[in-house]
Amino acid sequence: MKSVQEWAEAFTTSVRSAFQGKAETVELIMVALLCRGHVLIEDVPGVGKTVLAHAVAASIGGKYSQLQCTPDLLPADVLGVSVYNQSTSTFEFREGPVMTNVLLVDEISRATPRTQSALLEAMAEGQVSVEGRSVPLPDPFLLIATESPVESEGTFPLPEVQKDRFCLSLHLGYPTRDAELAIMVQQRSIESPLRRITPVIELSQLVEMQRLILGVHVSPLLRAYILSLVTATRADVRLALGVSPRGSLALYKGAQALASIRGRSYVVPEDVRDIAVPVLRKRMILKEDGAARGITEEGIVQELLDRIAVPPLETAVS
Amino acid sequence: MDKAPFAFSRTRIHALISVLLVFIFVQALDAVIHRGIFRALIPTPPGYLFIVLLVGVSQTVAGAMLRHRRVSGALPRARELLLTLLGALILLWILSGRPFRGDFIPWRPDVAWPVVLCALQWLLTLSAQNALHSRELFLSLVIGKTGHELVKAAREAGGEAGEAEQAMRRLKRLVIVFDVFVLLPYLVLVTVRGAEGNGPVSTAVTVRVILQAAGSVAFIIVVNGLLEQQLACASGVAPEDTRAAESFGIPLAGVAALFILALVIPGGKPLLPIAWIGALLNWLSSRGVGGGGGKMPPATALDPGPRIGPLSIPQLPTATPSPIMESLWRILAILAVAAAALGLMLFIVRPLLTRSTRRAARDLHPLRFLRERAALALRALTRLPKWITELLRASGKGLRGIPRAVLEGMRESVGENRAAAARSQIRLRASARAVREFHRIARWGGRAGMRFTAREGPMEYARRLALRAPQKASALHAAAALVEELIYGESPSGMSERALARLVDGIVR
Repeated sequence: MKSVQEWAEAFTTSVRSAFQGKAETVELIMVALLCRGHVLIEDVPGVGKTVLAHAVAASIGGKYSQLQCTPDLLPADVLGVSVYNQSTSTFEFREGPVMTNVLLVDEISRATPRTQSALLEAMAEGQVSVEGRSVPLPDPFLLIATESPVESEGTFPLPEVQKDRFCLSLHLGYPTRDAELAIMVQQRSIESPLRRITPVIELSQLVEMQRLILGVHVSPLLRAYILSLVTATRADVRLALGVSPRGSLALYKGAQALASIRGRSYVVPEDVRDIAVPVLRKRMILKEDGAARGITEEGIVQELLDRIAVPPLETAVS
Repeated sequence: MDKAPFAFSRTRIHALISVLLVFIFVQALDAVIHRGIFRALIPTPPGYLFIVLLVGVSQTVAGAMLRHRRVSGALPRARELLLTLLGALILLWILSGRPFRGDFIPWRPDVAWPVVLCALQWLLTLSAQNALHSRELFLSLVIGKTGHELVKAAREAGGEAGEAEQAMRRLKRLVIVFDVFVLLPYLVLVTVRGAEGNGPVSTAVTVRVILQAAGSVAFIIVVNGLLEQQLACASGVAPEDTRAAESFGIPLAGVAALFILALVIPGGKPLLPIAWIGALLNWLSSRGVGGGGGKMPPATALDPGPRIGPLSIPQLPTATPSPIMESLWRILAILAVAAAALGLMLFIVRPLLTRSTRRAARDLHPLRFLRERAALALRALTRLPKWITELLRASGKGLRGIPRAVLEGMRESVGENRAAAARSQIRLRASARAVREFHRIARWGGRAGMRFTAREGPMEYARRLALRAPQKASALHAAAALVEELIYGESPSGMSERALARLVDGIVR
């Protein structure tokens, strides 16, 4: 079996053959895949969210589904429904789009809270409850949800509990000038670049890698560092709610995955610092006047990273 | 100013000076006041000067640990002083033999006087240590440099050099003050004795005063040597350990010989005289099972005991003391007292028992120490049933297999613990070494105007430095990767340590 680093290189090359965004974004998607987490992408339309999800699904050789959320989308449209079969005179369960390996939930904030909460169990438990029975989801299962930060009319903001279920929260941002040029050049071919992507790993190997990263060593110093970052958010006066223990766990596992992707069997401070903003950003709530004063969650995390010393090298500060 | 912690090896000579200088003074003061003026009216416990010396050593090591942890302020030191004095008091009380004679009041004059000496030793050692700390600061800025670099570093560290020089001079003044405090009372004593016609002062007192005077001269020689060494730095002569050993070895060996003499002179009694052990056994036999029988008339089966009202409850006959039980109780009591004395001794010198300064500093807190031991005992108790089951399974059906299974289990457990301790030691040592090497890079970067900030990791800092010094980029990246491996890795290798040292040498050169 390939090492995690080899796989990461192949995966990045594969995804970036279709998605011209930043390499860091692909790295973070890999982190979510290895941590068995889910990703929330907040960005304006047209920056490549769907392409990214397609490319990820094609690169891991899994099944891919897409949900375009609208206010009339029902939980049954997501999970599945039993249909009466006249020939056998029985009800047959027809799986919904959630029964997949990579699920893109586009414009998640357009779905009603009822539909949003139908996804909660899938994200947290890896199973869905339909008509009184529990149906396990395929393994691995990665949910990539998108929401637009610019539109508010006809939307239902994600509740905090659901935001906490996402392992990472990303901003894709506009591509660089060169990347945008490359996108234009790609359009000259009739065939979509997504069709050229071939799987770089088998699903069973990916599941094995998910198990392997749990063995990546995290020094007690870095465990304390992670806790210092998380507990500092709980004491921050600008926040109405700090990061939950689920957040510290996500930071811990995310750092393990990132270290593994970078070819190390141990976590270093840089892994924690690189993953801190996407992991912690959406797990805290600003006080009401925070936004008006120009405070952002990202700014708070960045400030904490600048303030809290990396152990044990603080003694080297002159 | 660089606030990096200092390697303990560089300050060994300081520790030696601060303890011995004060000890020589304290023993002379004890001789003049206790033996000379009060004519040894108070029968001090045997070996009390050894306890005074231990207190000095304990203060030096605990002070170094506190400084390493950057713990400052009077409160932690006061706590250390109180705990050390408490330990010394109990040890001296045991050594005085009072508990064995049934006297449980520890603050008698024979114990109180040595405790006063212990307090004096502790406080003066702290004072001497603080004076020498300025020199440590200066040394940390020049150590490891030679030739032109050393001259430059010594010039840059002019402020620290000035402070160190002043501290050395303060230390010399302290030596002279010690001399005055001993010699003046001694001269007064000699004069008064002569005038009263009470005969000469005892030889032991005179010899110990002479030891103090000789010790003072030796110390002044050593301090002058240290001052010369500091001046030599400005000329590019490195303060090397070998030269230090040559310069200070002879005077310090002389002082060491003097303090051994000082320990021997007031002695002459064994630590625990046989008579005291006899007294202990007698006392225990009077307090042990059946020992209290002497206070009450012995009851027999025929004696129905006192009658209370119409109903009478016959008293049970008390057991007659068995000689085997008595012996057992005595042995147990002696073991308990010995264990308590050993525990106290360990408590006083506890920082000396580990080579890891970080661990020792944590263990300084007595509550933490107790909590950890209690947790260990609890864990052992919870594992006991499982261990017994495994033992029975391993021994098979025959009882003869049990001892072998016990031995194998113990061997396995000891082996595991040793391996775990060795791994932990290797990790700690590697981590400390990596931090030290990283300090060198940070100092080098700081001099180039790129100071290390605590908010970045080694690799981030190395990348920043590489922008300023592209010719050293690959070495910087490799060094940062090794620092990370040694500090945060699971099983760092010795090869990485050596490679890191070589890389850092190349970078900072």
